[in-house]
Amino acid sequence: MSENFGTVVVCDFEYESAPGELCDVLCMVAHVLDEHLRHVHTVRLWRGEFGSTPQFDVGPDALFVAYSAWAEMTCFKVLGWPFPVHIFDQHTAHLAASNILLPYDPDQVRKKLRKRLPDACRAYGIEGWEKINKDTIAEEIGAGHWAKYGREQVLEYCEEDVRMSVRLLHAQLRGRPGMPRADVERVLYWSNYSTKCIALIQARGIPIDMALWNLVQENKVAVIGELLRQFDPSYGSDDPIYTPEGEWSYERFERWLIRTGVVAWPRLDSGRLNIDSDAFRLMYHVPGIEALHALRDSLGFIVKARLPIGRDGRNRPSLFPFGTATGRNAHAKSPYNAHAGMRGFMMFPRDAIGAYLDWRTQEIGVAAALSGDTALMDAYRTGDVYHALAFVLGFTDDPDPVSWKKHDPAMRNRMKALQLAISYGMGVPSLARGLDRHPLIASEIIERHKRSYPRFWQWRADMVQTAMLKRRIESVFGWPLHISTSPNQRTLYNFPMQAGAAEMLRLATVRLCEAGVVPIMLIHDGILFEETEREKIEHAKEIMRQAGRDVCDGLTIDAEVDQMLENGARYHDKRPMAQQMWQTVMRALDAVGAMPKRKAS
Amino acid sequence: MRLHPDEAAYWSPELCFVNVPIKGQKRDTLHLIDEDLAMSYLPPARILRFRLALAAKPNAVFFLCHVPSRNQDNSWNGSNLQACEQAKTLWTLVTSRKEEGVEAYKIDSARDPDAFPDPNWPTQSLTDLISVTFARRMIESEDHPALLRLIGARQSTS
Repeated sequence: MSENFGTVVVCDFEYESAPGELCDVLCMVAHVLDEHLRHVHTVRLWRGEFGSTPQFDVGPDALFVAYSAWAEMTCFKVLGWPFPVHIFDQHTAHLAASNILLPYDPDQVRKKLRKRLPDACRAYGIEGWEKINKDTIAEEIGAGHWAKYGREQVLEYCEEDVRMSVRLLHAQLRGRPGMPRADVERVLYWSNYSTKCIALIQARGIPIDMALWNLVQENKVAVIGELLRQFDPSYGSDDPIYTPEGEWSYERFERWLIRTGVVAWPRLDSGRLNIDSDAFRLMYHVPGIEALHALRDSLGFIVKARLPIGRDGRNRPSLFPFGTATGRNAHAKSPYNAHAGMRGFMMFPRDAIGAYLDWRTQEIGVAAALSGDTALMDAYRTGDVYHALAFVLGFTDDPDPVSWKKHDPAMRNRMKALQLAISYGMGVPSLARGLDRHPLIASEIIERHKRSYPRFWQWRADMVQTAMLKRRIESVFGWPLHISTSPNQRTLYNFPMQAGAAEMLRLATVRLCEAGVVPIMLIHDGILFEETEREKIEHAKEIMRQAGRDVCDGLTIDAEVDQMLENGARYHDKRPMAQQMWQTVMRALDAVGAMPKRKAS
Repeated sequence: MRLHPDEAAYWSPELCFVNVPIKGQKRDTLHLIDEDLAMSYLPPARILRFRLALAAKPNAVFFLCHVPSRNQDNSWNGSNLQACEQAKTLWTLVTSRKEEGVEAYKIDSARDPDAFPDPNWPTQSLTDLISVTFARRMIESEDHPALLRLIGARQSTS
């Protein structure tokens, strides 16, 4: 690193922040280091002293270093400073070094390890902040109560973080047993996305129809009641799954399953019911389950109302780049963290164009490309891989994908679940449960899939074997997952597809931001835009397509317009359950007279 | 284990069963099969015959116990049947004596008969309980996937 950069700037900001608002910068401390990481001088700035450019080099000869540097880049943006050319985000470096798949133990409930600056320091054996109650001060500064500490103490607190970051930087470059040395080139590449792009996207935010959001919050009881009436299949019974306040109960759900004769609900190895989204999707063939799933994903959104919305009516969710093991974002607190029906709260200004673009069956495309399975690539290229799957597996003899999609949407949904299940290595018993078919049918389906796409199956087996031998698996562009003993093989099956899809999103996002088409939200296989010119949306589509080709070795992963919203249009997810959910919310508001009366024409 | 004391209501007559190998599953899967279908399509040696009785473990885990209905002179079957009879009234533990070189089960009863509470037996009929337990594993027609597998016929995935 020292050979490449004449100056290294290790920096930290303190700022006030309210949910959904952009930060209000308070102070900054930077340690400017030479090419050998020796301290040269310190820059300490307080509110009112920042100026229009940083007081250190951010050009191509300098490296900017910070922990969770997206926050620093947000401060840069608020201050109007130019972004540094090169950024080493220590948080991203730490996530890469500590991204480990632990031994598979379904009975153990693991708490997700925190990965803040002190946690990263401890991982390298660096202790600090002995005289400071870091959590309390950070919270109070954020809430604007910094005055009780005074300027000097806040600057000292900020500088302590910088001193620790410098020590952490040395440690990350050295590595230690169990914590591999940071791959600087890759960290710089990842940081471009996880700092500059994330800061730009989060700063924009998602437009929310505040009048309607507030109306729903004011009439929460009525809305919850109507949602329960419509979507809880146990509503009105002596033992409903939900309380009237909208509280879910595992025990009552289990009793409802028994009462309704659902004996084959997927279970965890521990014996408990699996109640994650995939398990629900697998059981959609059971009457009432799809509605119950939709209800589960919507009620939390309305009841808890944790959406951070700024005074400008913009929801600014946390995107948490590289927050999952596969390198996907772990975004939270957005309409995309709830049932699709809740996306109706997004409404674009009249002078803007809202567009949601997504990659077509992205993960299957990645699987086809990475495995080099020509049959799977051909199936993907037909434009409807689910029809191709249904055809080879004997679920349809209709050779026309368009008429099949039109006439048998239920089968198409079943093929989606089936493809997902097979890709992720689901076994015969679970697949049989999900398809509501005899295990021999599930077994036959898997065998036919193997015969149809043999290269894919061989690639997947080889990939897992290599990962187990190397104790490491990497995405196309190098995002690593370290492996302990006895990992869950299904996680390894899953990794190349999800990690490849995440690479596609990152690559497209960086290129979009460089082209001045800054998204307003990233959602795994889709990107939300708010622009004023249609040409920019077209340009975005081409950038996404190219990113697909670059990740998939030339195979075109098409980007399609899912939503194009003009003249103040509201986002409406097209799926029937989402529409039903939204209509129920509107009906509840209407029933209590909360909706403004329309003028008679 | 305990077996339901009402033999008339909760012990089935002799039924026919067959084990079916399924690729992707470690063990063969036991299927209940209609006797006429079994006789028509399967070699007699492949057909298993026994009774089912509603049984319970001490922690309210219910299951269908296999009660021998044939070859009761066989020491395994004889001791098994004896244990089933005893379990109508007593908590009973059955273990193999093979390692001792004895071809029979060892039958023990709980030291204290009230060590575990009496089972709170389900109220559903035995027929209902068998239907739930053997859901998708009841061969009642010629096109059942398991029968197709046993006779080597092509499967339909639809």
